[in-house]
Amino acid sequence: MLGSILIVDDDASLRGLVVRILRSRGHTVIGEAGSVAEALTCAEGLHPDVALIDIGLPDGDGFLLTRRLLARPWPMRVVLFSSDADRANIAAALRAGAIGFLPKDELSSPALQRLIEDRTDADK
Amino acid sequence: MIIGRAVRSLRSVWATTRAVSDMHDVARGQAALRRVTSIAAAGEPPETVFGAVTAEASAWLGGALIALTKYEGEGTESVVVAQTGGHVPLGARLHLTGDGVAARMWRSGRAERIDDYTRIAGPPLATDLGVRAVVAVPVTVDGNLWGALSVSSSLRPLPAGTEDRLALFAEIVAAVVVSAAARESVRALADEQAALLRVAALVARRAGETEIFEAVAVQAASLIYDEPTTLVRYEGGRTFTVLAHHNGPAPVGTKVTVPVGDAGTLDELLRTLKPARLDRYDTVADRSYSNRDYGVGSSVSVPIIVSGRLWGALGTLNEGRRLPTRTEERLGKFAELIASALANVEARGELERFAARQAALRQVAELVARGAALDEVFEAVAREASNVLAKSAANLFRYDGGCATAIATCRSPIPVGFQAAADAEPVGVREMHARQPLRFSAQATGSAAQDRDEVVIAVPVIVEGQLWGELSSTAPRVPSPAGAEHRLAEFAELAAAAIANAENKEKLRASRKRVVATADETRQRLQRDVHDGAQQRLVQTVLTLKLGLEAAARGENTAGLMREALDHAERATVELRDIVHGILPVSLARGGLSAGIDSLVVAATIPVDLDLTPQPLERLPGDVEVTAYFVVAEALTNVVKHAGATRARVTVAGGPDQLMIKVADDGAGGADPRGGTGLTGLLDRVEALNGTLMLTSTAGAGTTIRVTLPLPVPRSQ
Repeated sequence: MLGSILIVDDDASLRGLVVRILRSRGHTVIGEAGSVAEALTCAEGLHPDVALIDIGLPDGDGFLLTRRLLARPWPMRVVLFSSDADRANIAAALRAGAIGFLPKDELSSPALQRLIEDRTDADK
Repeated sequence: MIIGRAVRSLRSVWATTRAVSDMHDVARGQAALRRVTSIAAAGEPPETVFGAVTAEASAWLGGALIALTKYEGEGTESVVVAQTGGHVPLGARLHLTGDGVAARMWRSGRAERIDDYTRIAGPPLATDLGVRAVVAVPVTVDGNLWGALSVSSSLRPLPAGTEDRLALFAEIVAAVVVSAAARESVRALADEQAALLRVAALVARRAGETEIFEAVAVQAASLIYDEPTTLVRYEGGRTFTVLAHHNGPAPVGTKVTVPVGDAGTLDELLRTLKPARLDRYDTVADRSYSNRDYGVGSSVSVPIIVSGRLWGALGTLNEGRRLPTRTEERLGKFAELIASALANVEARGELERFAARQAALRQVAELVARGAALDEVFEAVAREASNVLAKSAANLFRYDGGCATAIATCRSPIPVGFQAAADAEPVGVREMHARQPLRFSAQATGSAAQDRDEVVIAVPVIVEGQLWGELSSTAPRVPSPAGAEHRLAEFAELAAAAIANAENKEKLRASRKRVVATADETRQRLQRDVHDGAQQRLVQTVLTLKLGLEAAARGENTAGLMREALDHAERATVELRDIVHGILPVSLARGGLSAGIDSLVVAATIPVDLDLTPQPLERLPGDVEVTAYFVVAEALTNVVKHAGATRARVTVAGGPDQLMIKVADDGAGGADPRGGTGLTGLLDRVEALNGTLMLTSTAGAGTTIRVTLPLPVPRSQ
């Protein structure tokens, strides 16, 4: 089965749209968070396999959250996204330990699908 | 020439009165006269010539007793200048009280003869000396009776013709007296020249005033046999100051004010502007102090006149001896010669002091102009002020609350950093609030200068209308530091300019920093607003449309997704419009200032009266419009937020060269002009356009903000 996913974005409206997209692709979204703090709490309780995290968050940023989530003793994959398509985000995301970065308007593309699934398959 | 004539006369005497057999006697007489004339021509001293005259005359007249005497005391005395045979003592002073040849000659001016003194009533001197007969001939110098050449006999009357023979020698004596007087006067002239040259040399090599004045006193003294001599300068008001002296009784710097009607020489000199002499001070009732305090006996004062004005005087005095007759003449002549040199020295001194002051001021001004560090400027102010004030102590104090702190000092016992409580200082800080220069006794300050006779001179340092501190100097009371207030004030002004510069620079720096910070803040807010708002909506629009396309590809109904995409796009449009309005309202950008202010007034939550008269008709420069708009916007925001007002009035009046904006409310008033970054931001904007902002906010009387913005002068048509 496809892994469980946590969505982190401070814009609830956009978060809802991403949840719909992922679900339409057959993924299981097990939680939503609007801040670093909420995300950490959620992850603690839900142990998602994958976290999709917006870089801009009100109480920190996606890179910081990535590092803190990956410091947990269970395995997790992180994909970072942002409405800012700056290519520098790709390298920064990889440095933080994420498996990839996508601009927000590419979230419906097969690229996201591949990122989540490939890694999921590899772990199986 | 006179001597040559005497020899020729001798020939004629013998030719007419004597037989040819007497030619031998004539030859001896000629030889005697030649010997005497050659001694006189060799320039021997008069005494030597006189001795030779009496000796030769005696030898020629067969060993007769010859005397040469000189009249003194208006013919009352006769002094023996030369003699033969020891019949009268050399130097003896004969009082011409009774009858005798000398007294008769003084009356007649001619040769006199007494053949038998025993027949003269009242035993005169001659009989005491054992003289029976005398023949005397006058020695006449420049038409005046100078003395007598006489021959005495103790036995019988002298032969006829003795007068003629003696007269030949008397002529030689007269010639010698004349030439000795001439030599004396030449030497006096040479002395004067030498004295003058010594002073002139000092003036030429620009010696100091003190040195030159001293030389004048010493050289003047040298012309009058080193009598005590004093040089004084006239200060006006009958007051003289001692500039220099040679063995004089009063020290340099002493001031003497001559009482009106005082009978002394300075009093007379003030009246006549001519040399004055007083020989007997002890006889003048009111001047006994001169004798008592200064030991003045005889005194001579001569004026030094420069450009028709009394510059000063040269004076001499002694303890009681009568000063020599020619003292006033010699001093007076020297005073005349030295006057212009002294005036030059004084003028040069004044010029040099002026130049030194200017140089000192320039040095500090250059530091100020190139924006040197304040510490450096303060140090220079203290140093140069001290230099200009004859190296007196100089202190720069800063007032700070209740304290006066020494910021910079020079030649002062007060260390930098020294603090005095402003209240503890009995004179100074408090009085300085009157912003006038002060001069007070050092005793009053309780300072270290307490025991000395000193004055403190202080001037305020006023920076942009505010009392910042003081510049002060402590100087000896005597000589009085004239004009010190003015000198200090010049430096205080430079210090104030430097302080104002530094403060303005700091203000400008802070303002620039705020402008940059505001720009950064605005950029960050804009980025956040766009990123968090419109950009998110547009991303959602894009994603939703992509989902719609996917659905359409699958043949599904896409209407729901389309509506959703449209909704996101519309929200993005609204948010972008709001953001753009926040950057610069469209109404302002399109319709100008009146349109922009209209939109503010319409949007305000309390009633606002708008007065746009006279209407700014056309478009103003962009920066003026934007600034005016933000002034009104910020003011109205404050009115609504803080003033508790029920109504506000906005007035905008455009003049030919400036725009006036006024926003008044009927609220609580009492706003703190320093509070709020909004007002500071406005001030920065207004000042950036060289405008002014004034806030009036009296408790209970509402708040009014007035801003004027200069308008560029339109190019002449």
